[in-house]
Amino acid sequence: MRSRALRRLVVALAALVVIDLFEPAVLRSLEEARYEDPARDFRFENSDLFGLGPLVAYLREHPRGRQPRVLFLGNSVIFGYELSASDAVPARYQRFDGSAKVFNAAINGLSTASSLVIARAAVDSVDLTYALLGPIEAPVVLPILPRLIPVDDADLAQFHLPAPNRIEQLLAAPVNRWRLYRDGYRLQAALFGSSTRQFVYLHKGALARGLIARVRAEQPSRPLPEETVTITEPMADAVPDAARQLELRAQRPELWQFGDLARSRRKPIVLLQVEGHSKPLLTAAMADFNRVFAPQARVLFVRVPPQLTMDGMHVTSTGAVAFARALRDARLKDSPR
Amino acid sequence: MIFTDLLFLFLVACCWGSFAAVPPGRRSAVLALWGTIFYVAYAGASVILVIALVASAAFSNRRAVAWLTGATVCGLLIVFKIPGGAPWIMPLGFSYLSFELLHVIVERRRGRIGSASFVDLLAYALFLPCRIAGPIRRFPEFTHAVAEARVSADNVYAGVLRILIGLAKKLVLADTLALTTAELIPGTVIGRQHAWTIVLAYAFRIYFDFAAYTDLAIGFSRLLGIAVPENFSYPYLAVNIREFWNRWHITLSHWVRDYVFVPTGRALFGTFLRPWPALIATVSYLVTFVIVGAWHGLTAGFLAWGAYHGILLSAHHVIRTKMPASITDHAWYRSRVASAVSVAITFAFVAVGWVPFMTDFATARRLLVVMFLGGKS
Repeated sequence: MRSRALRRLVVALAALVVIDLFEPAVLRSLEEARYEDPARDFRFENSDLFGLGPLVAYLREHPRGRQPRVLFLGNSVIFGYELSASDAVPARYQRFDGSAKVFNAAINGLSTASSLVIARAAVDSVDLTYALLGPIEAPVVLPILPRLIPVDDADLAQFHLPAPNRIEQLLAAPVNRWRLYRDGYRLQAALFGSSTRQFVYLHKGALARGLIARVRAEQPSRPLPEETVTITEPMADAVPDAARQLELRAQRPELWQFGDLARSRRKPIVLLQVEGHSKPLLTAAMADFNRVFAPQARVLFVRVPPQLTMDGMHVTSTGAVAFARALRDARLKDSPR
Repeated sequence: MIFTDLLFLFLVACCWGSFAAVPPGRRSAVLALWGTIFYVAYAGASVILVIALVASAAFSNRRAVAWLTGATVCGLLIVFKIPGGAPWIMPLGFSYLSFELLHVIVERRRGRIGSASFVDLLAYALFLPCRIAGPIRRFPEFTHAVAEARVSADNVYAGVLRILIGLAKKLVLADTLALTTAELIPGTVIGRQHAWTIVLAYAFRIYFDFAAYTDLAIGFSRLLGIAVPENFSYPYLAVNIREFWNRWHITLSHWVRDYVFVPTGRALFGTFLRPWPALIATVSYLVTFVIVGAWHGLTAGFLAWGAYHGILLSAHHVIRTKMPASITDHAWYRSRVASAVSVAITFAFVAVGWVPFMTDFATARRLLVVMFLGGKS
């Protein structure tokens, strides 16, 4: 009996070692299919945070993609409230710019400060970042973020985030040599776009019928109404003086930190100030910001007519097309890339 | 989940190594040491309180100490169970710890636990696999299990298997079902079918969740070669509510049977109720299960759930004792079809009983209305 139990334990360990040998190749293949294929609309399933860590880990490991990468950050407006992944603004943007791989990394309720922290972790691995300025700009960041993505000490202090547990980190170092353990989340995210349990939950009906649910068919777009999404880029005539810059920075610290981030990393970041949704920002302040940071960072003022929204805030499928087209036009006019 | 924390696994590994290395006479000291380290790591703010209670229980062979310790444990349990009742959070696993300490105090007074050293009691009270979510152990059985423990490949293999079963129950079944139960948001339950789906998902979720914790506790204990009691035995296959409570949270059922139900019944037999044993059983069941409800939390929902089970058990007791022999002796009464119907009826009653348990009282009331009368909640 004793020898049988021992034998089984040894066989189980050997099986784990053998499986671990193949894990990197499997992970690479699954992640390439999910993160590099421009025909596949990328969005976090059900707007859950599970996929954020694996996405950021992949981007940081592979700083150059097969196509130029465009990252969208924001809340439900960008995520596509009540829209399928293929109908949300980022997916529509991808239709207009087939050469880019677009990542819809928006999460319902995500604050501007959280977007800033995510942008810091991912900006070096993307070619263009769009970040929606949220309705509230309180310096509140999701406390779980440091457990999902790298967050630097300055952000931990600024946003009062819990630092990763040092004991856990110390213990994790040797355990992470077991790749299947280390990459468990990444494997799930690459396979399902979310956690296994979230996938089973969302697709339980299809799974029960023996089918894997497919991405919902794209909704037919109605012809755009005459009044459509407009984007303007206010620009001051001259660079504001130091006192004015300090004043503006104090008023909207997160906004200016986006500017600093774009400038220091030499990566373009476009901030979207959506009328009636984002916390109001004076045109003069936008113009001064753009004069200081353009072309690396800029604030675009976006106006979405009410008939292109469901509730005055979230865009409809047709509204998403108009929004994406306006972004494309603004980029063509003065490409920040 | 603490069981999957690297720190917890590291502590278990250290405990396992030390336990295997020392002679049998030192094993309690090893368990006490690693149990204390575990408690400091996960509930450092409460460790002094818990050790003080254990020390006090060690001297509970003295009447005054026993009463004082028992009253303190009960008082703390009540305070911690009142939502917002205590300014600090409840010590880790205190619900289970309190019943284990009360068992020690009572049995020491009864003379069934002769000597209990502080180290033995500390090893029992802070035994790390069982300190998170039970099961509720008995001191004599535990000390015997420690003395008989044998660290071997057989036990490691059996323990690892049980841990894997527990993880599958928790991470695959319970946590997936939890996403369906999370649909219970006031105003979003869209009809009778949706309401029943949520309640059934909860019924299986709570079973798999709790059974998983028990599997993990038993599995980690088994790594050390220590046997701890089972807590579940296919409860949803029970043919009546009494059998359900012999299959569901068995260690709690047995605890309240021994320390609440039997003493209450015995006390009532000494009163004017003596001629009415059915009434005594009814009162005993109600008292016992209201306490079971309160043990989960002093809220209207838990108390209603406890009272509901008290009523079900009372009704079952009355029906069972009054049932004519012509029915109970009939062949179909013990047929497989009758058993299957009984299982379904018992499960339905238990599932409906989870409604006040799973949510606040007002939401539970609305959910019950949708389940039975339709509409929206």
